[in-house]
Amino acid sequence: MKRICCLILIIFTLISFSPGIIVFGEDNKGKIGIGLNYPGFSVRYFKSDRTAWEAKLQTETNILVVGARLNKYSNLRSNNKIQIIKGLEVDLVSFKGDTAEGYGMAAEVFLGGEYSISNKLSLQLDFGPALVFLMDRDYKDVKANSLEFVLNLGINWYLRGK
Amino acid sequence: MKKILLNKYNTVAVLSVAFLVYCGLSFAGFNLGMTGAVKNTIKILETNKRNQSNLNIKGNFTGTGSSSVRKSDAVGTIKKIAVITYNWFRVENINSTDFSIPIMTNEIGKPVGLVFIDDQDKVAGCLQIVASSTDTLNLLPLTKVKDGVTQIDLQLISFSTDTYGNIAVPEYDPVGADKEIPFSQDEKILAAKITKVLGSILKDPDINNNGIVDFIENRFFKIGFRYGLNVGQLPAGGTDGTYSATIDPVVTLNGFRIDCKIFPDYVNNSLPITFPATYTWTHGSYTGHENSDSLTQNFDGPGEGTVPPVDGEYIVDANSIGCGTLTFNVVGQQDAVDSILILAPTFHISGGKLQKISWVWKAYNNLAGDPIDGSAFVDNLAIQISGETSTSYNSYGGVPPDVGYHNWAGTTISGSDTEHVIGVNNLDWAADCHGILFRYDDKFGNRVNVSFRK
Repeated sequence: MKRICCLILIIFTLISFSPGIIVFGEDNKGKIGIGLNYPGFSVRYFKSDRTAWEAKLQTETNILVVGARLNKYSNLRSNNKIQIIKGLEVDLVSFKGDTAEGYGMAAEVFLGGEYSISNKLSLQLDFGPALVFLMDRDYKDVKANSLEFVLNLGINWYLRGK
Repeated sequence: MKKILLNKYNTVAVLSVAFLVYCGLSFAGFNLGMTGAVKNTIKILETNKRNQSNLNIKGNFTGTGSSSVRKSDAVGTIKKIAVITYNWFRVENINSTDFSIPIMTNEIGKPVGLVFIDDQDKVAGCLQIVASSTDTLNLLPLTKVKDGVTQIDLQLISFSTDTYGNIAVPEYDPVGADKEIPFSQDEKILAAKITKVLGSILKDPDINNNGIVDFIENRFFKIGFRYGLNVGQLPAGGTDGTYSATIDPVVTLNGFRIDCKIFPDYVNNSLPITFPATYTWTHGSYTGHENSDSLTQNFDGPGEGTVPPVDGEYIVDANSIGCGTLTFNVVGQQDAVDSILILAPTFHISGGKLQKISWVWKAYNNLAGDPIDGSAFVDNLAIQISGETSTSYNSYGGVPPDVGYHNWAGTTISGSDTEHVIGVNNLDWAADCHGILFRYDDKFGNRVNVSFRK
């Protein structure tokens, strides 16, 4: 929670220096963004005005998650500052627990929003159900499937906008 | 100006809502990031792993209140236990002075060693129980576990040292005729002798000499020996009857190979091996790998050598694969040779044809002793019979060129089997049976070839 509060504080600080110009328009194609999310980072690329592909990496002690996301954007009541995002995420996982070490996969469908803070900066919040499948490295018959609910928070910085 | 201010107020409002949503959902049990979801699933996996085990080995380091000591001059809390079989290893974390290690399905049926590692990542001790006045057992021979046993409680573990390294002695010894691991006293001593080489590695598992326990580095360097022995003579036999082979009072070594494996990166490598200086006989006639043989990574030894390997330092140059120089301080080699299990076979002949071979297992150094329970020691057995110039019959059938001229579909023979019915009906004892090779893998990771000739 301490980290989250720090993140919020940073965002608020950035706001105070931002001119408040809308990020999203009808011409997103070609935009590249770098995201800082908890606990990792991502890079996204707008393949079209409403579709962005994203590569992401998250890591915590002894856990590494590497994956890809498909983000589909749509406007909220013609307000370009808030975009609704829905999409899919697929990840590869490696981990080391107390008594098990192995790898696995995860898949998530999510719904959320992205709010433009400035012409370069946005805040993203999304959530959704995720199916996680893990397997022990040494004992292939030791497996676990779990339906989890995932909440993602991050800030995005757009390097280039049209 | 007013518009900019309004914009900022809107931003603050949106961010506040986002923050509240975030807090609400996280308190509602949503995982923060995918790593949070993975963390939960790891817990489920570890529970599944524990539940999947049919056997737990437990113990403690505190007993009547003594601290968890490594040895008298060093105090350390035990934080990890390396679980080792002859062909794998894993490291379990422990968080209290009690431990309970699940033994996995594929570990049951094998000898299992436990190496206790302290919070400084140093070896506190390798599990050791006493087998006799001269022999200690460093692996629990789970090759034979009494039916219905789901837990073995070693009770208080005490740490000390012996000549070869750090040891961990349990208060309770589970190996005995009426105990959880029902080995007779002879079998217990035999297991102790057979596993001495591996036991010496477990007592000081820093084979690459870098000051870090190999298992912590996710490495297990193992060395073993594979023997070929001429054990005795086949009987002259006759047209009908049962005839036993004669076992020589002194074994003749056909040759041996050093078998060095590096886990978990098991790949076939050709690594130079230097013998102890005290081994002055010819060796090194072969250094290489057998891609087709999953049991062998690197091996070296006299193809026709007749002098068994000696105790001492065997040095494997593994620099080419980034593992440095590996120094194996092998002890108890003579014990291992003396304790090799051999078959005492009887041949059942009818109408001049070999119909069946039956056998009992014996310890070579104790032929007059009781038969050994093959199921506790032997994993699989193959029988190869040779005629005058070529292989006449294989118990496993085989595919060309590894096939007898009396070929059949083949079968597998386990350690609990005591006979093999010949799969063809035209194996002539006089013409087709000039030599018989029994090749087995024991449950302690050794391969032995036992030969009889007419």
